[in-house]
Amino acid sequence: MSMSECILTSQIDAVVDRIGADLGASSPFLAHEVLHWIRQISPGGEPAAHFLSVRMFPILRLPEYVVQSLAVAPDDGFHRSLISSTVHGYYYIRLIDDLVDGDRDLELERKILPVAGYFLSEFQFGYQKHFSAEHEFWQVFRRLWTASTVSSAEDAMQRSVGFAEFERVSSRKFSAAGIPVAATCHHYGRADLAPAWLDLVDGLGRWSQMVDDILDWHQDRGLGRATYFLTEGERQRRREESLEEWILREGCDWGFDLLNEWMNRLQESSAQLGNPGLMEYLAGRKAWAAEQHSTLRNGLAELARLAGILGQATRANTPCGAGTTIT
Amino acid sequence: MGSNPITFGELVNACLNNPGFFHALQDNPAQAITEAGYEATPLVIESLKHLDYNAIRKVFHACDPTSAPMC
Repeated sequence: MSMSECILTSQIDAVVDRIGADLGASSPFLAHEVLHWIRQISPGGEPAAHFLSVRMFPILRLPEYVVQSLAVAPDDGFHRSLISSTVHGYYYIRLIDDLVDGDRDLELERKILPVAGYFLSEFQFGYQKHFSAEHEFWQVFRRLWTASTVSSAEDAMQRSVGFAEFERVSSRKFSAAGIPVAATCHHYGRADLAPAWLDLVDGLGRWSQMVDDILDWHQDRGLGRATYFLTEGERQRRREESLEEWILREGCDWGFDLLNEWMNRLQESSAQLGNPGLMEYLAGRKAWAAEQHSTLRNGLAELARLAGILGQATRANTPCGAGTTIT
Repeated sequence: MGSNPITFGELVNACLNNPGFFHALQDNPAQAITEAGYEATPLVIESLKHLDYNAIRKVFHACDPTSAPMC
């Protein structure tokens, strides 16, 4: 773990401890339930590992990249506020999303839903400490926060997602991640840089949403969610072909080629932001996606071989289900 | 599943829903294949030995929603 990750880990842990203390002051039971939920949604039960995971949108790292590119002395108090705000904001969005998506046992989420109000106020308080009510930052805050909430709501209502809907709705769900980025630009007196950094957030949001669409296609289909990848699969597959066969034949390559093309453009446009750490991060994401592409392609090819072997095998008279079933 | 041969789509679903089957298929192909309703002929068992089960398991991990923390 790098020094930067160690610092982030201790700061995230401190925020989660404070959530427990804030809620626990009034209701130890509620604090226990909320902390249980936080651990439940964190891979390995570790909140910090959750935020630093390779598949997590880099909401905590982006402000760091902005500061590094400005070559200024970081204001530690401001960045502690940003991390606290962002962690609370993430839990607010995640709690609402889980309920809207309905992809897990929601009993706990329903019980703790009123805590969303606490998460939201802490998200906003983080900025109120540093920007007066009249500060122009709040216009950006309002625009990005509204875009994010509208996109999340509209995305959940979509029945099919063509490229136009993907661009206008699905990939805009990450707009809120631009808030700490814009705040950093404004805090250091470089509001002029915010548009370029927000373009990066949009591009990375589009890329990240497509990663989700591809890798979560099975779960999305099971839950009846419409995504760009599934919509294209239905459109592109041959009449006699199943979605899985389309993914094996060309869908996997189509999706990952698109990701690669978008990442190339993102890398080109990000070069002007002048941050080696960001460029290294993007290169890492590109390599990771190439690895996932190869994993999916090779694994599906092996499954196709297995289907071929079983297709040649004779069915025994044993009724399927008497022992282990495959599906 | 009926008496028709298992389809590729069913196998992909099995990989993502029931990865334990592939452990069983690798560890004891004769038993796993018999329990799944197929005749464990020597040719089938031999073919099963040459599959890359690690590659199959990686698909499960790549597509495992519990490992995806993004909102």
